Amino acid sequence: MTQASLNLPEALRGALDTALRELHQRIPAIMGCVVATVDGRLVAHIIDNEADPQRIAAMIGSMVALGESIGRETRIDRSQYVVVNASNGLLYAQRVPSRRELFVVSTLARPTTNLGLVLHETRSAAEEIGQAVDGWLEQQQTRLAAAASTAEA
Amino acid sequence: MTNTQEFAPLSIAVALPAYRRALVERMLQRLLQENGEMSADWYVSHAAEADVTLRLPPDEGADPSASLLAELRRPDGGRETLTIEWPWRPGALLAALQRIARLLRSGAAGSADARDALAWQWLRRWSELALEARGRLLELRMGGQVVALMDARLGYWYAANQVLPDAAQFVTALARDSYSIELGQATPPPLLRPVSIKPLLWQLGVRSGHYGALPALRQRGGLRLKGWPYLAAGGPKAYAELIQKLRGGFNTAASLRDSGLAAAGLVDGFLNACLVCDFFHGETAEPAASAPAPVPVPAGVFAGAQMRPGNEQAVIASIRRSLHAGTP
Amino acid sequence: MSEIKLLFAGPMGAGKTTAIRAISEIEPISTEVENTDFSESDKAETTVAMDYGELTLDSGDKLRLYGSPGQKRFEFMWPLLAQGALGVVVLLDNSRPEPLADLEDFLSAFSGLIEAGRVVVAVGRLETHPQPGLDDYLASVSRRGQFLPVIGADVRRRDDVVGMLELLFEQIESTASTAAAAVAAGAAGDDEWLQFVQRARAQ
Repeated sequence: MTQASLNLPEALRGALDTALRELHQRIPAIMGCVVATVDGRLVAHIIDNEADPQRIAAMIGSMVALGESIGRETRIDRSQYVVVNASNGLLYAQRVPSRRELFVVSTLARPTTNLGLVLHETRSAAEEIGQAVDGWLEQQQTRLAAAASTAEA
Repeated sequence: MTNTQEFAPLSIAVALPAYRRALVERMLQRLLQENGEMSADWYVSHAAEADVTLRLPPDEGADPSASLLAELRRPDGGRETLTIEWPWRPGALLAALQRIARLLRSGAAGSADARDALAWQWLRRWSELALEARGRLLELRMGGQVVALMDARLGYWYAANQVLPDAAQFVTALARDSYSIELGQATPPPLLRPVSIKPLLWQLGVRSGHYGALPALRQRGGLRLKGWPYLAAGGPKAYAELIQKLRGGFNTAASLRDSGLAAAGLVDGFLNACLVCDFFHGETAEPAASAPAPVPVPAGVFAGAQMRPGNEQAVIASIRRSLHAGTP
Repeated sequence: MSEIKLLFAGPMGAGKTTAIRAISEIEPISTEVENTDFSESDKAETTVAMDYGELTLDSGDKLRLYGSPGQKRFEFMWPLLAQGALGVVVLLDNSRPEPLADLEDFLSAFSGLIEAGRVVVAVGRLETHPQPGLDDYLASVSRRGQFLPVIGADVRRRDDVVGMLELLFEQIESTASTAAAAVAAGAAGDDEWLQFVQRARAQ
């Protein structure tokens, strides 16, 4: 098991790592979970097999964006998640819902796992991460506003 | 200190104002370090009398890109002066040194000029026969012996030792032994590996420029470049401008010579080289627009996952027409 | 019906999307998302999967124009998109910090296609950033024992985009005719030729 993360503010970093660790514990046959930016940069990951997390991060970014483009193109509207159902496992990816959707989260699991379970657990983890991101964004705004008013005074 | 031994290193002296001298000497040192084989040929000397002395041209102003003069002392005591264009580009300086080494080392075989004339005559014969060959090979005889068979259409050279000669060696040999080129058999010799003759043709073409454009070139209408003359890469800077000009608009050998892009000898050398290396499209008529001639293409012929070469040509022709039709 | 496609590759911000827009008859479909990596580029959005444009040919077929994502982390997309392509135009941007390093990345990624004569390199923003010059690019290419055309281009000008495709096509045609000739003559290889080209390029 490896764990590495990109530069993020300490509070957000902690919330994110916790959410990821809990997700990793909740799904029985999980092989890994990754948080990346929408443009494919690795943010946090727990990976049990040999897969390169940096590469997975970039691929998930591409895949989610491509899913959204296809959704628009085929008029089936907004893509909510993308699934790769492979003979030896499955991969699920979705955006992290927050006011600014800058992140994607993805889960890799063995085929013995139920897709519904992966979907449900990853979605709740995404929501937790989203709340942490929103909280951080709010804090940032408050701080910026405070700084602005201090500057005015 | 003049070298008369054939393979002793040549001395090179830099007789330039101090600010230039440091730069040129450093460039020379680096070139010699980076090109192991060169370092066997050259050493930088501070002696007053070197085999080669680099100087500024007499009318040199403040132009930092100016050329340099190389004064050569030939082994027979004769003197010669060469211009090195763009000496501040290491590649150009390296090329010049190689040229000078060849000149000094083969000085005994006659003056460079006479040998360039041989290159021109040889290429004229080559280009005449290339038009008549129709699948037959050309036989090159030297000193009465067939030394090579050449395929003018595919640009191959078949010789017993299977090695393409260097242009300098080649013209030296042409000067020494009499030669002839005639039409020969149609089938390539079964045991000989074909070697591309284009590097030799290119060098001969460039050398032949001082004797003007080849007749085959003069007979052509417009000249339009085909492919990318790799062989021109790294040549004088004017080559890049000539390539650019030959890619757009209507040009002839005469119009390019008059364009003032480069000295006539250089332009003709470049064009001769492009001609014999097959870098020109077939006849281009005067009013031809920049769009290439359309090739008829049957619609919807591209079945199958893999594109076949023939289809690919049709596809490219179709893309070209569509792109040009879309010109606003 | 087989696919006829061209790929525009190159680093972020080099103008791949712009080049596709210059010749596409549809508004390019893009997979742009928010850019979070301002060390790479200050653009607000960046392509992460592909750009896509189309041009209907007079034969009735569609020419498909793909643009690949530029950042090195997306290099897994490059061969995917290049698969079966007629050719690849690599767009480089001379205003980036290390354009010659960018060149190396793409030369490695497309080495097979380069050997087949199916790659051209076009360098943008040479007017404002003259260094490195085209000579330096050619030197980098030849150091790898490869050869391909390198030209300056401004992808905002449709003529420049058409010009670089023209160069690509000429390149494909001349390589194809050389290859056909080699097959016809049963040539084993052309080492002398390659060596000569390398020497010529070194100058």
